[in-house]
Amino acid sequence: MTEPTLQPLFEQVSPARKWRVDGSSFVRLGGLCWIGAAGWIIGSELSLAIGIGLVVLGLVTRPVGTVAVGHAALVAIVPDLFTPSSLVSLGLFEGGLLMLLVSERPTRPVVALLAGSGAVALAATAGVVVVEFGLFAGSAFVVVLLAAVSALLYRYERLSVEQILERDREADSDPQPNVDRATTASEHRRETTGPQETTQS
Amino acid sequence: MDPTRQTWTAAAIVVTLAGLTPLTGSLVPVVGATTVSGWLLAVQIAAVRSFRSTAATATVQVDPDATRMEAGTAVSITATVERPDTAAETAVTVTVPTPPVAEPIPETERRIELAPSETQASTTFDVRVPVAGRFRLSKPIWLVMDPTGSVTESYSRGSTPELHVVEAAARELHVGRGGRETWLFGERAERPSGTGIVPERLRPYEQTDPANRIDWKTTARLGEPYLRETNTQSGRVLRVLVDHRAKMRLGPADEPMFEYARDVALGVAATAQQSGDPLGLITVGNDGLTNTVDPTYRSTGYAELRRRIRALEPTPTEQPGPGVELDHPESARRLRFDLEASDHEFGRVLHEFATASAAYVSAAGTQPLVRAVQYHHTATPSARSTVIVTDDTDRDETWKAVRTALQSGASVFVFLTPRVLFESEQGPHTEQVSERYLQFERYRRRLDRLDSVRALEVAPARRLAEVRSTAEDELGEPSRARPEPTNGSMPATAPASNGGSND
Repeated sequence: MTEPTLQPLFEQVSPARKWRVDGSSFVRLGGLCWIGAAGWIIGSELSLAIGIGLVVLGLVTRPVGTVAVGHAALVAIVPDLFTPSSLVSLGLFEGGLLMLLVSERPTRPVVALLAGSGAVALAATAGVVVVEFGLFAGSAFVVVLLAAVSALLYRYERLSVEQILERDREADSDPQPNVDRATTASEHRRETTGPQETTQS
Repeated sequence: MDPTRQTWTAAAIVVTLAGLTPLTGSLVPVVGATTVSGWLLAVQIAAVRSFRSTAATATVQVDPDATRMEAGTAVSITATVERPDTAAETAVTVTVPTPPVAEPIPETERRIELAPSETQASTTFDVRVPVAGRFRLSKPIWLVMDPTGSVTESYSRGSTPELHVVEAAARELHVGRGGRETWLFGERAERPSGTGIVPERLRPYEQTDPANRIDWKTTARLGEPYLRETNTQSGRVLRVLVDHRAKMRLGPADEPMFEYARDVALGVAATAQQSGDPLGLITVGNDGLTNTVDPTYRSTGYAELRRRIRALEPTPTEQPGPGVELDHPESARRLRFDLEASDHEFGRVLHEFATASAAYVSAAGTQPLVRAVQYHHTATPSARSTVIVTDDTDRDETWKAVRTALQSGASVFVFLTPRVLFESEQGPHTEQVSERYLQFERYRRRLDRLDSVRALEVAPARRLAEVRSTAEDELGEPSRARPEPTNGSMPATAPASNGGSND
């Protein structure tokens, strides 16, 4: 028996299909406009060039790639974060980049809210680590934290799905011999279709 | 949960930006790393939630159209995946595995795909198992992907129906008269000739087809050469009456008496098809008739008859409860009646289920076999032959059924399974067994002596030989002799040949 492939699933969710018009398109367009405006507001030629460059890049690549390039490019116009003007410049660009990032299809308000609040919390924590232990420790902290939380999530998901499947197996192995046969027509479906009804009962 | 390439790409971006921070001496890249990390974690948290929801509420139902089939024949399996709207965020594929011994089926035919926001999908494919045995389908394999395509999950879950694959014919089937096997393979005085005039189907012209068979009207309509295939319909209408009352359950669990009766009925169907004889079917349950199929000469009609014969099981002895039990003819009849006038789609689907099940279509009194013959006379006055497949439990009823069948002037073929050979399967060969077999044989001969009646015994060959060797003196003839050819007008049963007549 061959293992099922992931290709049909990718064809269904198809995150790489760019030229579609839906809710995400408007969010993405809004993010790109914001980035362009930020480049113009900051006022330097370099910031304007970066803004226009990111808008063009955002139209042809996936948002996460644009966000990565954007942060690398911002090093040129925001050398440090210890002056108010630097913070304003970064904040202006960061709002547009975050908006662009959450426009990954499908755009869901819950994910956008989680992403925004998660990014702020992570940045604040990383900032504290940087202040206390330096840049290298701050960078390592972000990577290790992402890996650790992801590993916990993976483990939790596996356990919780296993738990559901286990209940399913228990329902299958319990033939309920004392139940009147006449009442088992609907229950037969329950036995054969899994724990949907089992969890409700 | 498994990360896809998209997640690995985002993780690589985080690592790269984090690495740029000490290199550039700027905090901006680490801000980028935290932004992408926050988004990645949010996507994974949402995925966990949607995977749990899918696992808890999505269901798959795998339904073979028959759980019993002959080796080498196809059975259709329909798999349906359903989920509520609230769990429709994910993309899902469900692949139904087939038994390892089954002939390979492309995965695309066994796969059901549900895109995000879709709540129901199904697929139907044919499984063909070339060897006999009981095979349980493995649990369907689920692959779930979150809507952003970042992570996937896979697990096995769902119903695992069992397929009971039987050999094309019972191994030791004996059909004969007085212990002599009867050659029953296509013995017929007349054979159909020519291509016939009964339209069967249209098909595209092939280079090897004679040009004079092109159907010009169809060709003109469709723009390419087409043939109209025809079928030869003989005037010899047969109707087979199969007794599947509870008494036919007698014998070993894997090969009860009814298996032998079923093989004979399938043999009659196969031979009728080969000969182009229109064939009808009546099946008799405890409380009435469960199938009445008018004579058919079409290949699809013969296939339907064989499907119905294969689906038969001895009827339950107890009355059904108030719920729905599709394996009980009375319960199926009630459901069919209740849903007959249903306007709802669900009701119509259920009605189809009930119709496909063996349900009582006509009630009968104390002698359902006689009622079946009477029905046969009314429904098929043109039938020239009646084939009755039953046992010898109620000899008076069988006798009366045969006499009733003879009243229409048709020839009657009676296939009897001697109850004594199944009651005492693998038991001692006592005098009592011999005596009871002799009683059966006398009864069969009485039937056989009637004008236009041929009565044949249907039994496990080895068991019959053992009992006959004990009763040889009383029988006054050798227990096993060379097979004898039957009368030329015999509706030949060819148990071994029905394996070759796939649906």
